Amino acid sequence: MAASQLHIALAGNPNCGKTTLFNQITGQNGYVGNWPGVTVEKKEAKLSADKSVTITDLPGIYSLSPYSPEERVSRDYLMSGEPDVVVQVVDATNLERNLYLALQVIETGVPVVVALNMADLVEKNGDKIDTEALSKSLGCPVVMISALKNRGLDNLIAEAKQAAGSASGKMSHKFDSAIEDVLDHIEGQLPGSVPAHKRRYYAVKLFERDADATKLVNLTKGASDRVEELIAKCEQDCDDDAESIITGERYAVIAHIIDGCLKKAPARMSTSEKIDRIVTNRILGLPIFLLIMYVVYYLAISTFGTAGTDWVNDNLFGEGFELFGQSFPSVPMVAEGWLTSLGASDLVISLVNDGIVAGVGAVLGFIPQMFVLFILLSFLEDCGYMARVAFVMDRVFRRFGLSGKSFIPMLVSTGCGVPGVLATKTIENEKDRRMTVMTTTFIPCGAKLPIIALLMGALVGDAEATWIAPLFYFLGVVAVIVSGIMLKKTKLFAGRPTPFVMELPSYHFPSLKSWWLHIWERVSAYVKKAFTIIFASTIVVWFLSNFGVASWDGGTGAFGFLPAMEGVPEEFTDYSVLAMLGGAIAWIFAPLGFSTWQATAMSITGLVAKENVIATAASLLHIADAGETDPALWQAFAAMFPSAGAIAAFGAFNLLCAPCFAAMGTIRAQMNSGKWTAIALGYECAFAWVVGLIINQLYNLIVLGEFGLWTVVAFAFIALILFQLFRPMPKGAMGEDDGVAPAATAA
Amino acid sequence: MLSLADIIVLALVAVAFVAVCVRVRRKGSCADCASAGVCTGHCSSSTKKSCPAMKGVDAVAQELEQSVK
Repeated sequence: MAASQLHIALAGNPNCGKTTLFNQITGQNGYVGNWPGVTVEKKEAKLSADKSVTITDLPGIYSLSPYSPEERVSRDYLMSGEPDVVVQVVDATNLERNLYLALQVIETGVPVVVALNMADLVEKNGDKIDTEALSKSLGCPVVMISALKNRGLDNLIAEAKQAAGSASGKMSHKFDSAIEDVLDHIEGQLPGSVPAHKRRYYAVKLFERDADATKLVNLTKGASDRVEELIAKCEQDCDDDAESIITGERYAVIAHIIDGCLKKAPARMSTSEKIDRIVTNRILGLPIFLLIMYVVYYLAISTFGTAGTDWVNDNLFGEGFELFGQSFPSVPMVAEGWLTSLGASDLVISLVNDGIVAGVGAVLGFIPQMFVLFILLSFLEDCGYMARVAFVMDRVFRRFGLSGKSFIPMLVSTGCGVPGVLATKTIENEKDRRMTVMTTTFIPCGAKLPIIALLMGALVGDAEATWIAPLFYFLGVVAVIVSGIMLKKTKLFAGRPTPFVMELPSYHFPSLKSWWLHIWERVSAYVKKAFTIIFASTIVVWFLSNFGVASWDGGTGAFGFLPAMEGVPEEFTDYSVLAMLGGAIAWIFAPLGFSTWQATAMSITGLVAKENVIATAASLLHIADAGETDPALWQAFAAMFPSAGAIAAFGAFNLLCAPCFAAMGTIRAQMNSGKWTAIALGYECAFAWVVGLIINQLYNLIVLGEFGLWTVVAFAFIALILFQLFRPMPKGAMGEDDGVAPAATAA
Repeated sequence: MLSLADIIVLALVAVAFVAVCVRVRRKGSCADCASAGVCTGHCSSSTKKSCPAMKGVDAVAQELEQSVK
């Protein structure tokens, strides 16, 4: 092999240090990513020490079975004949799992060099690997390396170059003799066009009934029948399906190899394992997650976050503040003073102060709470805890026939629903994907946090009711689970859940840079929204709420700027265009207890962006400082509702109904169907309405002792939900064997 | 009757309003590109590559697996 044409492919499991190795030997420093579902990127670069060698970094995969795009791309590339040698990167701290792929790669017949990565960790753990014995068992060179510490890499490249010169890979491992007999027979049926070094690979693939290999080999009818006969007999003898037989054989070979080459130090539990014993415990895992999220929302909304928000609202958007002994006026003071000095009219001052400053300011006032929330959420993500939550939730979801894969978009949705919806695109099962799209925006995103804070103030004022804010978060989680169970039992979404495999990383203290980047990305996005879509919305809301028809007693009936009209009543906004529009559809919310046009207007403007609920409230009620501790301001909001039940119903409806325009657009893009988008948004709004109805009617019945027609309707809905939740899964709903797919794998 | 100051302020607000509307039309109403991408397709390919949402569930899960990104 001429050196100028040498191609080395790097293959390996995800997270085995393949990219670190690639970066070390090529001098690259970029992020190498997989893009499942769209394209799978294999990155190429020249070897730093020898530019005639091309290194190809393949996507991290667990096997060569063509179940995922990554596996298909890796297999096609390995079989293409392009790579002269494959460097199979193996996480030496986890030989058993990593050798599964290594055996498959060796079976392809391509020359292979096994790189046992993380040699430093093996030493640290006190384990010993006999590389010579391993090399003999695998039939290929084995080199110990540490990609991170740049150890053994020169030796690895030298071995790879040497192996590339060999004609083909030599396979040493053998399966059980009965299986080997069948494989030999299958090899005998292969056409002569299949090269000798690839005959074993194709025999195994035909045994596994691999559709691609079957198509490629193109056996004659007679040969094909003979092969099928052999496989069927073997399946009958082993009482298992062909694919499982080969999987079992590979693991048996691996167990034998490991016995001969690995000496494990007496097991010591790492700190991560000790923590995991508690946080992923079957019984404690979920309560611990709930407790952590309770603390997150408590700290963000009730303590540090509130202190910051109060300061901003009291001072920056309130009565001004003192800094270093100097007095500074607030933003509204500055705006009003500036406009008055310019000689602006009341209309313009009202537009700027009551509209823009009040609306945008109300949203900006929540930045300290958002900041604290994102500090905590980013920490949980970066330290490795959220990976555990995905594992814990997979167990919960799977119990109800849902996929743990659906939890990842929900995790993303705590920041913003748009990426949450987008992240669903690689859920292979279409029904699961659609269901996840429909339910993922139930999780309160950052934009809903101000609504929760406002509701908390309106419901309990400055009382120490720390459970209110977390309660609304858990309402979202419960809505997801309840909806998932109910929908899964319908024909539209029935089916076996998508399997979910996830590795649990060691716990780390996040790097401050990446931690800060996450916080900054999210907070800056919130600020950006305040000055764009919220800004535009507040102007529209101000115009709609300040212009109207003078239709009060003694009014002229003319259309115009209401505050400037003669004889205008104090509650002039009741005659505004917004009041007319809101009033026209307010009846829909009457059973939920908030049939005022103001509450309706807030809900409708919330569809543009959820922060608009606050901005509109601020514009209509002048409660820009809704988060502060003055109960009079919350009371202005609370006065729109007849009872605390109605406030809670308003909150539930706004948190669960159709998301903002951006998320709706993303749902449309992901569903790729107008009908499915309508089903998704219709379901969200209907579910939110029903939850609001139940909350309000139960409050009316239990607290106020009121009973009416809507109470009966609420109980009918409760009965319907309970029936759908607890009725058995319809026959055939889970797939062919009605079994539940194996639970998430966590390593 | 509007004064000159009124006209100037209203003109400024109108310009800002139109600018925001144009931006929303072009880039979508969500500004959360940083953690997701507005995903109306306006992002540069390099931005899309660093956007976790564009990667899908598996890659997000993989990032969580890798812990510190």
